[in-house]
Formats: sequence, structure tokens, C-alpha cells
Amino acid sequence: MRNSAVTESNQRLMSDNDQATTEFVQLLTESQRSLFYYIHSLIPNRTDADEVLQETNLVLWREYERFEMGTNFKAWACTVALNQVRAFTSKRRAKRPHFDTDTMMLISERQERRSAYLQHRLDALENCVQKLPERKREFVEQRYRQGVPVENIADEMGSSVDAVYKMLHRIRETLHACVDRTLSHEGVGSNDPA
Amino acid sequence: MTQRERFNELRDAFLDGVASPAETEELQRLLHSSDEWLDDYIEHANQDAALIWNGIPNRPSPTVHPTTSAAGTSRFVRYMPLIAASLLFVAAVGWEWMTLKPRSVATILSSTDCHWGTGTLPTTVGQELTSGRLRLISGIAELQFPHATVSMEGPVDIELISAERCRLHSGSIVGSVSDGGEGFVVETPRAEITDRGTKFGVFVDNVGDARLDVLEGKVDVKHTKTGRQLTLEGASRAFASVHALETFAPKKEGEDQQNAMTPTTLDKVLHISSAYGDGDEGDVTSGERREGDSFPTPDHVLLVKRADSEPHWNRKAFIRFDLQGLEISELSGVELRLEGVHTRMGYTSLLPDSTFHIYGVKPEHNTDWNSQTLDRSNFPGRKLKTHKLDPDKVQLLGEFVIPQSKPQGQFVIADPRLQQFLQDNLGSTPTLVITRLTSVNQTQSYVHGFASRTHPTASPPTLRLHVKQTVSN
Repeated sequence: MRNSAVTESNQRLMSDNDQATTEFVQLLTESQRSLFYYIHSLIPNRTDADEVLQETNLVLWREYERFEMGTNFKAWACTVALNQVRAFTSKRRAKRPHFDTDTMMLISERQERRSAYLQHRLDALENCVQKLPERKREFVEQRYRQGVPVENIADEMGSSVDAVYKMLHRIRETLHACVDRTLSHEGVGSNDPA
Repeated sequence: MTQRERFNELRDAFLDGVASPAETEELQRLLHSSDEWLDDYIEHANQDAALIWNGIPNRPSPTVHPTTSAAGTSRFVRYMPLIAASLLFVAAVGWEWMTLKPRSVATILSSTDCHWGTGTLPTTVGQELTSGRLRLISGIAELQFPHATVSMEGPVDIELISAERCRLHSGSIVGSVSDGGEGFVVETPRAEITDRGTKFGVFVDNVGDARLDVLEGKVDVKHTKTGRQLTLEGASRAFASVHALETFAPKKEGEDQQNAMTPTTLDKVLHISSAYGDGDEGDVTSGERREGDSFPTPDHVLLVKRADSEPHWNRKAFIRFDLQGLEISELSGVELRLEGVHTRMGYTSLLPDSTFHIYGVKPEHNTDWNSQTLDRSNFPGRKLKTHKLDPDKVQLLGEFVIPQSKPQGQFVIADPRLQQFLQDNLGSTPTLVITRLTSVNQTQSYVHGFASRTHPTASPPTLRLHVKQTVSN
């Protein structure tokens, strides 16, 4: 009788722990992509954004006990991320010029207000990438997915660095316009409330 | 080139990482001037991020969904590799955090008349400090972070988190930040303060309410609960309570430091924790034995137990509060707040809901004790030749119940007897004793625990005194 009570109690303790870890893992995993997008909008460099994301994850893990279940994890995580971006830039670890705090706050707040609309855009993007001509898709693959430096792509293509940047610009605009058209067909307006 | 074309050029250069500082500055100005361009920038930045993200390998997939009770075993099994990978990721993150911890984050620059409390860090001048907790009971000490100096005025309870971040649990600090230190963060229980190149003071009282005084320059303050954010500039002040973040007008000429230290005089509530002044705390076990390595006791916890079948394991907790020099003539209300924490000693399921008694040691029997020397043979209120409390030396001030299912959390005791006892002991250092009335004849029954003043996250034993009348300082 006593043993069974002890076992039950043990199991309960263990399952409480497991449950908390599992919940944290789920919340963290689900938020990784949007956290990266958020950080990248403030500090648009793959390596820097990655580093800040990792630091944000550390803080979230460390502070998880303080997080109130049922409140908005993503909003909390974004606040942590914003602080980490600011710490990152203030320490001058960002090798490139970066925005000041006012601009970061401006971007952050605007992004939060329009998060639903931005999500629609992201949903439409994949299809637009598929519609790109083969050569441009290959370029997206190299430049974005593989992170090949512009100089290397220029070498490989036998063109100038400047020409590669122009191509990058055209692809950006093509994709942006394609997403605009898709949302317009779907009746999603840019002024829709978030 | 039209302005639109110029914006596109700047935006792309910034996103490609090739913008110069001047171009970045120009882009910032444009972003502030038009929502249309701001939206355009965000849309393009997000688009770039999505294109990058889809190709980054070895990231945990963002598609793990909670397994609901409706989800069958097969679905769980299907997600097992993902969950395992995520757990490994979290474990790696945790490991990285642990291996990062020993890194030096600050140095003790100076200390004057310092009486240090129990913390987790060394307290010698020149000592490099890793992340951890410092408690200064009295005196003034200065901490040097890489780009910020923080002066602590005892009593202070502060946690060093990193070279750019600390958490003020209670007490006063003054921070000044040198070039490159913008972004230094002081966390408080109610608000987070981010320095933007300035000098500022922060005071956190024993329930966590915070006051921020900007002395020079600019400071951002964000309220934890509401998310409200403010930027304070010049000589200005904000006050963060549980529910609100308020600003105050700049200090009037002639307003002295004394007033600045007591912004809460209006609500006439004082919080005195066992960490304040000559406060102290400790617990004693009735038997000779204390747990050894085979059964370690938790740190930073005051233990309380009663088991009549094993009286040698009975435990009592003693808490002393410093009510000297408060200049209060009358109390209109009193609460004692204790925070229960899990001890993992014994099993709660072997014990019903438990009743606890709070006793006050009568002033004439309140011996001069301290946590270092407190033991079963010398605690205040002891009955001679026993290890029990003497009913003639203590008086019952109240009782409270801790449910079997929830030994952790805040327990608040308000009782007219407690109020009267403290009223009678104003100006002295009364000792309270906590004992458990509930006993079971069962080995391995649960040992209750209350956060001590050194607990890293939970609140220390605290008196909340409602003051009817204060004598002006």
C-alpha cells in the first residue's frame, strides 16, 4: 500500500517534469521560424540572426519557469529576442551597420500589428518561388538556401558582382509582386487588421 | 533617381549586408518618414528570412504539434524522432548555458563598510564574478561590468546574469553606463529597464515594486505585466507596481534624497523581509542527526516537519524580523507572507492537508541567536533540557493550512494576534517560530519547506505592515 502510494507520487513528480519540458520544447520548436523572421527583420544577416536566435533560446530556456502558461509565448519570445538583438548590436558584435533602438522598436511594433497579414504573405511565398524560372530558382537556392556569397555566384556565372546584385533585386521584386497578386486574388488586403 | 528607387536601393543594400553607415542612417530616416516604406521593408526582410530559413539545415522542425489525447500511439511514435531531436536540442542549449555560466561578467570594484549576506558569489574586491547572486546587507559596493558601473547600497539583493544584464530582486542601485554600454539591462520583478547611455537609480521594494529615477540621459522601461513601454529622458521618474507603470513629473527643486527614497509613503505599507537589517532565519531538527550526503537537504529552504512516530526528525523554523528604527507608532494591519517551495523530502501523498502554527517568542525570552549557530540546544523559546518549544516562552499568533496537493506557493497569514505581537515589538527584533501541528505515523512523510532569504527565485519570509501613522523623518 505504502509502496504503491510512493510509486504514484514518484510518477506524478516525473510526469510533471516531463510535461513541463515537453511543453517548453513544443512552444520553442513552434516559435523558431517566426523568431528567426522577427530577428532577421531587425538584423538582416544570416549568421548574426542565427547567433541572436541561439542566445534568445538560451534565455527562454533559462527563464521558462517565469513564463505564465496560457499567455502568449510568441510575444514573450519576441520581447526576449528584441533585447538580445539590442544587446548584440550594443556590444558591437554586429560587424555591419545596424538600426538604432528607435528604428528597431518601430519595426518591431509595426510587425506585431501586421503579423496576420505578414503570415498570409509568407503562406503565398512558397508558391511564388515555384513559379520562378529555373535559372532564378537555382539562384535563390544558392544565394539564400545555401548562403553562397555573391562574389562566388558572380564567378560561377561569369558575370559581375554588380550584375548579381541586380538579379537579386529583380528576384526580390518579382516574388514580392507575385505575393501581392496572390493575396489580391484571395481578397486579402494589406489594410486588413492583424 | 526617384525617392522610391533610392529607397529600394538602400533597402536592398541593407538586406544584402553591403550598406554603409551613412546609407543605413538614410534608410532609417526613410523608414521613420513613411508607413508605406516601413511595411515594404518588413515584407522584404520577412521574405528574405523565409527564403533563408527554408534552406537552413539541422534546425528543429517548426511543425511539431502537441499530441492531444485524441492522437493515437502511432502518431506519437511518428513524432518521436522529432521530439527526441528537439529534446536533444534543448539539452544542448541547456548544456551550452551551463558551460557559459562560469564566464566572468563583472568585477567588484570597491566596497565600503560592507556586510555581505549569503549569496552565491565571492565578495572580495577585485574578484571576477560569474553569473550568480550577491546580497549586501549594509554598506556600499561597486560592481564593474564591461561597460557599466553599478553601485549597490545595502541592503541589496542582486543577481548577475551576464555582462550586459542583471536582475535587482530588492534594494537600491545606481547604474552608470560608459560608451558602448547602451543596452545594459536591469531586470526587476515588475519592469525591465534598458539603459540608453545614462545614469539612473533603481529601487525595488520587498514585494518587487520598482522605482526608476533617471539622473541623466535616456532610459527605456517596459512593464512586465502590461507590456507598456516608456522612454524616460532627463531627470524623471517611473514607478512600476504589479498592475501599472506610471511616470512622475520631473523632480521639483528642493526635493531631497530622503523624499526620493520613499515614494510609497502614500500607500503606507512597509515590507520587511528576513533579509532586512538584523533579520535572520534558520531551522532546527529535534534529533541529533542531520541528513548527510546520502539524503541531502535542499539549499535556501527553511524546513518544517512533525512526525510523532519519528520525533527526532521534527523540525521548526525560526524567523527574525528587524523592526528597529521604523518610527511607526501604530499598525493597522499585518500580514506574514511565506513562500512554500518543494523540498522533494518525503511524499506529500503520505500526509493530509497540514496545519501550521506561528508562534512569537516572548520578548523576555528572545535570545540573541543567529543562523550560523542556531541548533537544537540553543534556539529561542526552548524548554530547558528538551528540544521543544516552551509554551510559557512563546505565544500562539496564528495558524495556516497547506493543502496536500500544493505545498508550494504563497501563504499569507493575517491574524489579530500576530498584529498585536508585532505592535508590542515595534522597535525591536522579534522572532517568529513555525511548527507543523499535523503529524502522521508514517515514515517518509513530507517535509515542508519555505523559501529562505537566500532562495534564488522564491520570495523570502516577509512582513507586510500597514502603517496607520508615521512620524515624519
